[in-house]
Amino acid sequence: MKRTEHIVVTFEGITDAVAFEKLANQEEIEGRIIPLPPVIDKGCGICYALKKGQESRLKNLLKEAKYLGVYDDIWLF
Amino acid sequence: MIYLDSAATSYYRPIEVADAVHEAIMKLGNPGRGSYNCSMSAVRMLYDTRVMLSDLFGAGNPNSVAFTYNVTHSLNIAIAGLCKEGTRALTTAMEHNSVLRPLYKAQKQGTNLSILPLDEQGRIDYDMLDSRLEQGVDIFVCTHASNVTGNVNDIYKIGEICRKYGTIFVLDAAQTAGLIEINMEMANIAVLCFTGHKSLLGPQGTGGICVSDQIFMPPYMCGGSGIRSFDREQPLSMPESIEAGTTNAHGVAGLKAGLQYITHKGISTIHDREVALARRFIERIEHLKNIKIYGDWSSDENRVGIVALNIGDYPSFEIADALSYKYDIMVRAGVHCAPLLHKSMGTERQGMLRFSFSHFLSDEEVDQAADALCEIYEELYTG
Repeated sequence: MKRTEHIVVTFEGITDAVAFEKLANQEEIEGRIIPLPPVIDKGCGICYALKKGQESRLKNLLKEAKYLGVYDDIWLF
Repeated sequence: MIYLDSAATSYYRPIEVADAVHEAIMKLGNPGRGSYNCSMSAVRMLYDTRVMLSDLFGAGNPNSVAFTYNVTHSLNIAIAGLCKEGTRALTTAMEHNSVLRPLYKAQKQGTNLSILPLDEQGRIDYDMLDSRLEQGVDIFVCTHASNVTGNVNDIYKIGEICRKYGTIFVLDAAQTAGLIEINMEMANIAVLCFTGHKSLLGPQGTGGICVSDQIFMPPYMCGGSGIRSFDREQPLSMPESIEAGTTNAHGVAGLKAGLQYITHKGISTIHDREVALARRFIERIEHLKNIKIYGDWSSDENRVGIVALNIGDYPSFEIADALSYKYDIMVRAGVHCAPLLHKSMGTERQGMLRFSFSHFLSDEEVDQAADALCEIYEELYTG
């Protein structure tokens, strides 16, 4: 069980986070909802984390999704 | 799955609660809108529940009990009703935002607000409270137990101090209603706010406010009351003054079933079991060198079954996520809507991991949660 680097997408509100999760599932992105890491100043209490290596699929998704910001260098189990 | 977030909402409930809600949805009419059977069934059910709550809290009168949607709703009613321009209000740094935000709103409207600080274990100082009230405080609003540390305030001591100086005592019983004995009369509590979906084991969307006969609580919302329909204003007598519109009778039916369960089981039995589970959890993890456990653990009477902790400087969210994702164990991380407590403890960025135990859990489930935390700890420090 090792920690790995993730990319995190943040949102203004929980509804946007859930809408993003639906789109991500449709795109078969490997990721999940997690609590907002404290290093990120802006966003609602949850965000979407995906493992690095899915950047191109994420880029497509971000064109239609409503989100606040994208961050890397977030380490999770 | 192991659910350890009972401080947020109960997950484990007796099946009777769900059955009661189902039956209510199938059989009850709108309470107080007719004298026909299904409307009166709803009224009678509400009344029986008011009696149970009045007995539980020593309110003295079932009409003192009004149903609300949750404790936040109740606290908004109380604070908006009692805090006006020039009111001197005092609260503590251990409060939830359901107390703080309505007070901040009142402050913007001219209430003078001050905040009692906490010591390093998250406790208030009763001597300090006494000298503050002596200087002149109209209303003191505080929680019975911290939703973060699980520390319990001595409401009888607080009530005595409030009585000495003529301060109105408003209690947030979100974490203790159904878990610790509360007698409004003996503790000099003028207004008690409670939620239905935590230790009372009722559904979400239920709660209430108990208002002493000595206090006038003005209406917060106006609308249909089922009585005095030609009056342009909301009736001023409890409970109709607070219960504008259709009461959530379906939810209160579930709340009633929860009350019946806890009355039968015994609230001190439930409290003792939850604190025992919390202590069992601590015993299994306290050997870990970089674990910090917050709160006052000097006695079981002074606390509820909540353990707040951190592992070194690791962000609490990361551990909570690992527990959920890898072990299917549910805990809460972050600041728990209690910003001043975290400022007081220096954990604004890190937050805390909060494990809150239901009496429905088995010893084995608690051991499993502790062992999972130990595995994560191992990974962080040796992996």
